[in-house]
Amino acid sequence: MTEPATGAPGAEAGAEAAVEAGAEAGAEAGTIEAALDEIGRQPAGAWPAALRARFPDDPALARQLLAWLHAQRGAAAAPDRGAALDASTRYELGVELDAGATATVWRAYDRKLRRDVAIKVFDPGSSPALDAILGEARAACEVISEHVVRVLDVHDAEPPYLVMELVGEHELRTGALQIGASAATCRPRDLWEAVRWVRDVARGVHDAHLRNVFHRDLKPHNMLITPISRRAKIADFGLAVSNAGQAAANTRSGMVVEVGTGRIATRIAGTPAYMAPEQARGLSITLDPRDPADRATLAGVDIWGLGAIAHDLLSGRPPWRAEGGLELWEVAAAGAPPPALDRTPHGERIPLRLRKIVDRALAIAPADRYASAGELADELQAVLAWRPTSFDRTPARRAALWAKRNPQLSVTAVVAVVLAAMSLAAYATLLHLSDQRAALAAEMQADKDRFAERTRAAQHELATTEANLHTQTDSLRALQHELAEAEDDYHAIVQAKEQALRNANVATRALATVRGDLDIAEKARDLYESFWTRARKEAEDAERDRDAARAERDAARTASDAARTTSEQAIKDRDAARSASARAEHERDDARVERDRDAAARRQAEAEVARLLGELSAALGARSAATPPAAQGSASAPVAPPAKPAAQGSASAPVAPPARPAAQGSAPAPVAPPARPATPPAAAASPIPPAATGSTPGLPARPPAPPAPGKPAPATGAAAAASPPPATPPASPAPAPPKDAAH
Amino acid sequence: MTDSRSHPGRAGDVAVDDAIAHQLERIIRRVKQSMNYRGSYSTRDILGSLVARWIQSGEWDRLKQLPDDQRHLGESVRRFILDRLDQLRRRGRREDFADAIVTLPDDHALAEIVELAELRGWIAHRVGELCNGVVDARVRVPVAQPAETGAILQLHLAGKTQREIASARKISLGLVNKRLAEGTSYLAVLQGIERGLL
Repeated sequence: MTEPATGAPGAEAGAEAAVEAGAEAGAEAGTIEAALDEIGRQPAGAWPAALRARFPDDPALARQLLAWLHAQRGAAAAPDRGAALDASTRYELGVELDAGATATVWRAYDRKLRRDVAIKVFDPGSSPALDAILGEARAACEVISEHVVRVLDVHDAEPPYLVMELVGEHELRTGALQIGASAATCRPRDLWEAVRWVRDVARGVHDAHLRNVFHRDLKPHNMLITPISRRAKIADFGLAVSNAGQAAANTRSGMVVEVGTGRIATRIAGTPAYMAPEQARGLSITLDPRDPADRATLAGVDIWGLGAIAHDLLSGRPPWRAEGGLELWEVAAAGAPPPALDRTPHGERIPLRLRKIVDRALAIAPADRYASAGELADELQAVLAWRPTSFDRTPARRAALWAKRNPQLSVTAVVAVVLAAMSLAAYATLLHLSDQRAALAAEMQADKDRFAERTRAAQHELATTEANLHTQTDSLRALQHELAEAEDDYHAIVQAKEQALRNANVATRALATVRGDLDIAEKARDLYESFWTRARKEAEDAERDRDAARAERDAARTASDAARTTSEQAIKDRDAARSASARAEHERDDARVERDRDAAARRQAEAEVARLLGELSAALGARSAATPPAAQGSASAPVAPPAKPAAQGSASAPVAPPARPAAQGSAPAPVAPPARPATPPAAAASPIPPAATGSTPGLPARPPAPPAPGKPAPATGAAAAASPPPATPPASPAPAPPKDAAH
Repeated sequence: MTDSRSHPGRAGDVAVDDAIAHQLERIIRRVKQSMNYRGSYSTRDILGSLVARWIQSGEWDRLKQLPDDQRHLGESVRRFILDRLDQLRRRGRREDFADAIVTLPDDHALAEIVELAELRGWIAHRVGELCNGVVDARVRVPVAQPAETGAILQLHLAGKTQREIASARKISLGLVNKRLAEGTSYLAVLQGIERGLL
C-alpha cells in the first residue's frame, strides 16, 4: 500500500531531479556560451584572468574555455607575436587574413611607409628553419613580375615574419580598401576568367623561372585574386627552389632512399592534390636551378602545377583525388592520367583546344609537357584571343579562328562572297533560263509541226472515214433497196400463194362440184380433200414462213436503224445487214423453192385431177358405151354424176345431174359433196382401178410441172419430185374444169 | 589593465597561464596540423602518412609490448615504407627501388611522426563518434550540432574544401567554417583533457 505512495513521490523526485539537472545543464550551457561570446571579444591576453573571474570556483571549466577560445582564435601565441610586432613600431597588425599549419597571415599597416601590407608570421614551434624563411623571402624578392606577390621585408629574429604586398584594391567611388582572396575561395566567374587567371599565373611563373626561381607548390590556394580588376598573382614561395644551397638545407626533413650502391636523397614537397607525379615520387634534394637538366625537371613540376590549377579552376576539382584507400600523394605517385575535362561546374563545355592545352600541361612524362611556362601562357593567350595554338595547324581551323578574331571583316567577307555568289548564281540562272526558253520555243515549234501533221493526218483519216461512211451508206441504201425488193418479192409470193390458194379453192370447188356430180369420184374427192387439206396446211406453213420472213425483215430494219445511228458501228452493221440480207436471200430462195414446190404440188394435183378427169371421162365413156341408146342420147349431156350401178334396180332412171345451187353464177360454187349411192357398190363398181385405189395415200409420180410464168424454174426440181406431196396448194391457178364436167 | 608583475599571486597565475598556453598551443597546433591535409606537404608529411599506415597495420601495438631496447622502431618503419613504395612502383611508372634502403630521420623525429600519426588516428576515431552524435562528457563546453560537426570534420579530413563541404551538405560556407572551428576546438579541448592538461 505504501509502495505506490512512496514510489510515486520517488519517481516524481527523480523526474524533477532530471528536469532540474537538464535545466541546470541548459543554464550552464547558456552561461558558458555567453561567457565565450563575451570573453572572446576581449584581447587574448586578458582571457585567463577574465575566465578565472567568471568561473572562480571551477578552474577546470575555465581552462577548458581558455583552450576552446585559443583553438577558435587560430593561434594561441598570436597575441605575443602581435605584441612583438607592435613593439617594432613599424608594423601595426590588423585583422587575420589566413591561417595555416605553420603560419598566419595578417593585414598590417606600415607606419614608416604608410601603406597597408600583409605580414606572414611563422609559428615559433612549427615554423621551418630560419634559413628556409629567408630562402622563401629571397626567392620571392628575386622575382619582379606583376603576377607575383612582392616580398617587401623579412624579419629573421623571433618572431620570424615576412612582409608582403597586400593584394587589395580601393573602390573607385568610396575609396574603401578591398582585400583580395585566394582562387580557392574566389572562384572564376566563367571559363574565360579561369583561363585568364592561369595565363597570368603562367606569366608570373615564367618570370620566376627567368630568375631561377621555381615555385613547386602551385595551387589555387596560392593564387591571390585582386578584388576589382580580378587579376591573379602568385604567392607563397615557401617550397620554392632558387639555388642549390637552399635545397640542400632542407635535407633535414627529407627522406633518403639508397638505390643500389649509390645514394639518392629525395624530398617530397608540395600539395598532394596538385603534385606532379615525379614530385610525389620525390625530387632530388640537390636540384640546382643552374643545371639545365635540373631546370627542366623543376620547370616541368611548375608547368604541371599550372595545369593542375587550370584543371581545378575549369572543372572545380583538383587533378588527383583519393581513391582505393590510397593517400593523395600515393595516387599522384602512381602516375595514372588525371580525369579528362569535360564541362565547368557551371555547365559550360570546355573547348577542345583548351582541353588539349591542359592535357599537355598535365602530361605524365615531363618531356611531353610544355617546355616553358611562357609557352603555356602564350597558348592560353592564343585561346583567349582566338589565335591559333600549337594544336590549330590546319588552314581551315586557322581560317575559322581568324573569322572569330575579326568578326566584322568576316561578316563583310561573307557578305561579299555571298553577294558574288548570288550574282554568279543569278547570271547563271539567266543563262540557264535563256537556254531553257530557246529549247522550249524549239520544242513548241516541233510540237506545233507535229500537231499540224497530226491534224492533216486526222483530216485525211476523217475524209477517208467520211468516204467510207458514204460508201457504207450507199451500201446500206442498196441493202435497203434490196430488202425492199425482197419485201416486194415476199408480197408477190404471198399474193401468189394467196392467189394459188384461191385458185386451188376454185379448183377444189370445181373438183368437188365434179365429184359431187360423180359418185365414182367420191374417193377422188376424198383424196382431193386430203390434198386440199394438205394444201391448206402447206399454206399455213407458208404463212408461218411469211411471218418468219417478216420478223427477219424487222430484224434487218432494226439492224439498219442501228447502222444509221452509229457511224463507228457502220461496218459491223453493214456486215450484219449483209448477213441479214444473205439470210433474207436465203429465205427468199427457200420461199421460192417452196413456191416452186407448191407449184409442183399444184401441177401434180392438177395432173391428178386431169388424170382423174381422164379416168372419169374414160369411165363415163365406158358407161356410155354400156348404156342403152336412150341413154346415149344424153351423151351430149353434160357430165353427170356417176350413175348408180344397174344392180340398184333403178337403172331406168337417168343419171340426175348434180344439184347446183341456184345462186351459182359465174363464180365457182363450192363443191358439193356428191350424192352417195343408197348402197355401197361392190368393189368392182368402183370406177377407180385397183392400181389407183391402191395408191390413194400416195399419188403416182407426177410429171414435172411447168415453171410458173415469170418465175424461174426451181433449182431443186428433182428433189422436189422426190419429196413428199406438198402441203400447200399450187400457186398457179388450177386449170378450169372441163366444160363437160361443169355442165 | 592590472599589472601582473605588481602582484606576486598574479605573477604566479601568469606563469601558469603561460605554461598552459604554451602546452595548449602545441596541442592545438598538432591537432590542426593533423587535420590540415590540404596544406602543403613536406617529406615529413609523406612519412607521417606512411607511419599512420604502419600504425594501422598493428605493428606499433606489437612493438609497444616490447621493452624499449627491443623495439627497433626505425627498422620496422623502414621495412614497411619499402614495402609500400614497392606497391606504388607496381601501380605506375616509378624508378626501380629494388634493394633500396630507406634512411629515416632520427628516432626523436620518428617518434614525433609516430605520435602525430597516432593523433590522426585518435582524431578520426573521435570524429566518428561525433558523427554518431556522441560527445565526450568530460568536455563541458557545449557542441551545438555534434552530428553535423562530425560529418563536416569527416569531409574535411577526406580532403574536401569548405566550398565542396557546403555544397555537399547544402549549408552556407560560413556555417561550415563555424562548425570546423567548433569541431577543432572540441578536439583540442578533449586532447588537452586526455593529456591531463585540462
